[in-house]
Amino acid sequence: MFSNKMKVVFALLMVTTLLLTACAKGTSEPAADAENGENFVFGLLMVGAYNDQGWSQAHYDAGLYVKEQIPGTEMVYIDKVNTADRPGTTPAQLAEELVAQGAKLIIFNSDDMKDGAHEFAVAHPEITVIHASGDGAWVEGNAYQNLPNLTNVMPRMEYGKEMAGCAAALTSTTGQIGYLGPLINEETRRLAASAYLGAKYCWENVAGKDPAALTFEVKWIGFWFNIPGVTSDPTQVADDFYNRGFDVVISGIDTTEALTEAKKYMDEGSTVYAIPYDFMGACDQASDVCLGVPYYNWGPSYVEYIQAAMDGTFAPSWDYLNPDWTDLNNVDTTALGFIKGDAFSEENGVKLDDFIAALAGGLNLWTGSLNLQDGTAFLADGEVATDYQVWYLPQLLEGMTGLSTPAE
Amino acid sequence: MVAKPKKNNMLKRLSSPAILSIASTAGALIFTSLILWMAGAQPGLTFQKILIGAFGDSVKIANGLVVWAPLSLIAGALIITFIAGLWNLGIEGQIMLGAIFTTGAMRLFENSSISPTLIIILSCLVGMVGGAFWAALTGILRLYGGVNEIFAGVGLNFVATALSLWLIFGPWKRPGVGSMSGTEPFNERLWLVQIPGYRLSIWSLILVVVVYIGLFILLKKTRFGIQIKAIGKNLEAARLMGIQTRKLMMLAMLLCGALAGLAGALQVVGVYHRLIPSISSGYGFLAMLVAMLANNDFFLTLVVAYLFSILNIGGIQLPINLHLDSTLSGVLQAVLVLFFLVMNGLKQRLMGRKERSRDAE
Amino acid sequence: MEIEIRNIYKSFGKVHANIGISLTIHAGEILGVLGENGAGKTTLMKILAGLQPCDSGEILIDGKPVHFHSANTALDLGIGMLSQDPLDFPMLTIFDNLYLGRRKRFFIQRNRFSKQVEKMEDLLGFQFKLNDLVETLSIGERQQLEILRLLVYGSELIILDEPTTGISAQQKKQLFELLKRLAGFGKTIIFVTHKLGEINELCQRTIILRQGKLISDVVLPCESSLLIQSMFGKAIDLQSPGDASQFEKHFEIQHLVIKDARFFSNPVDLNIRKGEILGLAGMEGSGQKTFLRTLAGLEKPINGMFLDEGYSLHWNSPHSFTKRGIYFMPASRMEEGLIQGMTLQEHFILSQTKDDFFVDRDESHKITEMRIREFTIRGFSSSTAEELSGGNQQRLLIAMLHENARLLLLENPTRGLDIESTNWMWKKLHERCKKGASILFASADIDELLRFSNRILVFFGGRISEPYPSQMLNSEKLGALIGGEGW
Repeated sequence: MFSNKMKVVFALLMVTTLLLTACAKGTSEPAADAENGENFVFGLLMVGAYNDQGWSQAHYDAGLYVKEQIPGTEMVYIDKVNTADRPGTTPAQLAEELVAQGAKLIIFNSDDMKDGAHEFAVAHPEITVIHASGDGAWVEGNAYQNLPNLTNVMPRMEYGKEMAGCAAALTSTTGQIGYLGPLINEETRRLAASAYLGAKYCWENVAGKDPAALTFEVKWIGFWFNIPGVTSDPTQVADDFYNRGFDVVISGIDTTEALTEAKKYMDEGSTVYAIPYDFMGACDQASDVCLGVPYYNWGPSYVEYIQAAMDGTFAPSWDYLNPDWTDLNNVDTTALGFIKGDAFSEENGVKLDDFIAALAGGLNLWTGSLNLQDGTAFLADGEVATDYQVWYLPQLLEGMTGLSTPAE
Repeated sequence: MVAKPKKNNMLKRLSSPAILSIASTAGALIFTSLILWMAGAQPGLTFQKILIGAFGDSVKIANGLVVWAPLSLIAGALIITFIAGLWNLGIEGQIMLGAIFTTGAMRLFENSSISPTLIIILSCLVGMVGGAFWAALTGILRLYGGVNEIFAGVGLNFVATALSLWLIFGPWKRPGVGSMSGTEPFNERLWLVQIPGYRLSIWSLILVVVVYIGLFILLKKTRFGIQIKAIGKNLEAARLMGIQTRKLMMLAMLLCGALAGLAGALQVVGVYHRLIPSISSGYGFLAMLVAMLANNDFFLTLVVAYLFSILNIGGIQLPINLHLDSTLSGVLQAVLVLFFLVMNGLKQRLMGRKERSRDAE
Repeated sequence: MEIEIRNIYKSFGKVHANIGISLTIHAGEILGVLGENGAGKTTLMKILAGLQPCDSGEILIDGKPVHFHSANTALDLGIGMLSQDPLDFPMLTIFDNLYLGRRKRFFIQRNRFSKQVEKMEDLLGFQFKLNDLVETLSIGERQQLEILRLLVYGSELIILDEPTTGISAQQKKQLFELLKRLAGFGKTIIFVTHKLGEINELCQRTIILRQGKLISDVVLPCESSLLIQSMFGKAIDLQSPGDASQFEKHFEIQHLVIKDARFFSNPVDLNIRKGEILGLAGMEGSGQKTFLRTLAGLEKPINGMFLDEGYSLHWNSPHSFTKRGIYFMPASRMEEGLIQGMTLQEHFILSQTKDDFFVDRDESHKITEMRIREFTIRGFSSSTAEELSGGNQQRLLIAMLHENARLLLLENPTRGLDIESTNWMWKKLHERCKKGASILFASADIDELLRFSNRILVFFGGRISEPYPSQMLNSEKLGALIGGEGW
């Protein structure tokens, strides 16, 4: 038998590790009193930490917005709903825990919770289910489920990415733009491609530069955030971009390594920039290298769904939401927005505003002719992509460097 | 010097572990309360929420048992290697490989005409082979490569994680979308039959009972059991007695791996119905704590595994109700083990004095 | 230093280990402590060395009562004890072993300490290389190291508990010379043994313990028979070996070359006959151990064959050796022979080489009870091995040797046993021989070798001799051979 000491060391290690993880994110907010019978309680399941300065925080803030907008609503939530952080649980099981707290409507905030959302919606027809991202309620989509209590919602972030691409192209002097991608799937492909389309358009048509001088390279790290030993280290990837002469990195991941790394290069005297993603306040971390951030604004749509559920008028739908083109950054109306960063020059700001105005006026960059990365035709000359074609984009586009499918 | 009388022996066995357990539980509770208090939460309320979260209604109790079944299987598996003196830290990887092999088999048979029951049974068996295979690698590295099983196991855990991620995002990815949510879920007919309204399958409980009876017989009633005990306590003496130490250590690893693989298979066919990135749910390391706390006693292992399951399930309430990180329930588990070991060490020191004086002529 | 022990009582449960023992020991004296196994010798010595407390009684040093809190206090007061089993750290160097346990100074003062040690070594005639690992030393050498350590720490009284077990005659001679020299320096020596010859050879005075009581305090030299009477309360007869040359051939060794840590041996050819007892003589670490382990299938030879009635044994699987009835018994009881934490019953189950999957606990319980009676082991079938005293552990080891064994390979089988137990043990072993088993045993005791072996192989510095019929040898001749003379 091995020594008792060895066991103590092992147990001590476990305690320390767990304690560290617990304390790192451990917060001490007052308990939400959800047991109030009068109130309409809605539940929110977040894939990341509620304060992750990214995707999940955008949802959390939207929840707070709902509470503020509709008196008499209460939010219960559980964050870090993923199998790594909450081993042994399933999203559906956790959603039931929220129902036990009185929730009548549950928001699943990740594509990864698709199965859980569907399973839960089937098992609990009396509960309204909102699945942010996903296509289970899209009649024309590939995964239509026909559930009377499930709605999908996803803003057209393609526009936000086009604006990000444009801002990058207007600022870049080397013509080398990097895209820090998460894992490869349909959603991430279309967003990377949108950033490319925006960059290409502004490089050629606004800055008037040589199309051949533009490089747009995508590097996938493997997941939405860094998992040491599993994904590539986003810091390393960003560093590699800047090191090779890329002067703008657009982030497609949920964390802000690109920004932090750009700041480091800036402090060492290089002129490099980054564009984060997801969350309105993302630029605040390093505003002097931030060109801007395309962000989600889930609040207005959630207000709508929850109001409908309260009124009993809820009907399933697949909502692919536009920004408020009349007032892009109006938090009460828009589904997504773009906030310019401090590092973005005023001159270029005007040009970007013109570009946004053009988008508002009907400019659609998803117009042919466009080829897929392997050269096969995607859109004929003048052909406008359907939602279906954009949503299920099979490859990156011609002109982009990087993998279209995971290396096997 | 005459050996101590039997009666004393019995008394010692009965009384001290109980006192020990109570003392260490109390110590762990106080320590955890202190942490909670520092985190700004009310310890009493926290423990109350955990209990309600674990026993609040029948679904919650069933959810606790969903955790308990694989945890017990894995802890039981670990007892075999613990007794043989092997620190099988590669248990996580063995669970994962079990899950991977099971998923592979399910994918293979999914569209065949074989009856669903048979597919599930076959796939679980294949999963056991997978776990045993991974354990065999650790065993070979230890017994023939001279690599300590701790390092070999931890290394293979990483490989197993990478393998499952590669499969999920690569060859087995869902149509068009590699997703952290895992592979495409299996058709419902291939799910382990659940009790209606619950996530629990009666079969996983039956499996636990059968496996534990088997383990009890194997370790207490067979030559194999006594031989691996000898190996664990004194490898050199066992070798000199003519016991085939390598073969038996390998067998212990294989058995442990097969049971871990079975637990992984249960996670696939009974809980997640697909392969997910962290399919082992960290049960391997948790089971290590369980087996250590239970001191390799079968009955105690089942009890402790249940206690830990409760903490796991009840711990979900912490973020929902108190906005505390649910890892705190993990802290409680680990602190419990730590206190137990420290108390055990103290006991041995105290006993040691008596023991030493007995050792005279 | 004068030590006085007054009325020491010590019991373990119902067993009274020491009953009212009083004794005075003078400076420069070599005092013998004689007694059979379990007479209470070790207990008394442990009390004296501060290793365990007594129930009542007191110890006075130079007339002042002292209280030991630990062995370190005793050591500080100048009492050092050499235990039966070496308590050193085999993985460390000799220097580190000497330095360990030295307190007071935090930083290692290597040079100063080395000089101190070397001075002491010169005085005693030792030649250790301080940077060698302790595991490279033989048991005899480890003993010298232990004595050196005690002296370096300033011990005035040195207690030696059965120090001659496991060392060669040569080493024993050296040890005795050393002890006499130490006594000449004014050190007090207490020498615990059950061997009468040693007492007469070394000591000026001896006490005899029996069943916890001090039976007599004798000035030496004196008649052995008198001592035996005191030890056992009765007289004991001795027996002599026979000639086995007519016995049937059993095992055959051909051109066997063994590999020790330090050498390759010369090729050995040997026939082992049925019922024969072969003694392996030689200084500790001369290759006897490797020879036995090689024949047991536990270590691979460089070359050669080992035939069992024509069947060639392969070293790939030690198990196949046990299957053919070849059994090995190691010298270090608790390290290699027995398993701490396992019961006697479990030991007997393990020692059976049945291939049954399920173990019949009732049957093995019966067998255990039977063996416990037969081998008069003081313990129960549910006692664990470490709960037995050293002598009883040795009995257990021998009791574990399989009934149907055909070749017994024994490392120092009677080490730590008193004369009565030794004789009895050999009676048991002879019974095995009558059933057709052959025995190879290594021993450091020349008398034992001559008395019990039919033939004797001598090991010296990697050389293995032809077998000598034991009638052709006497203790002088054998002693010389062991010392490397007369080859």
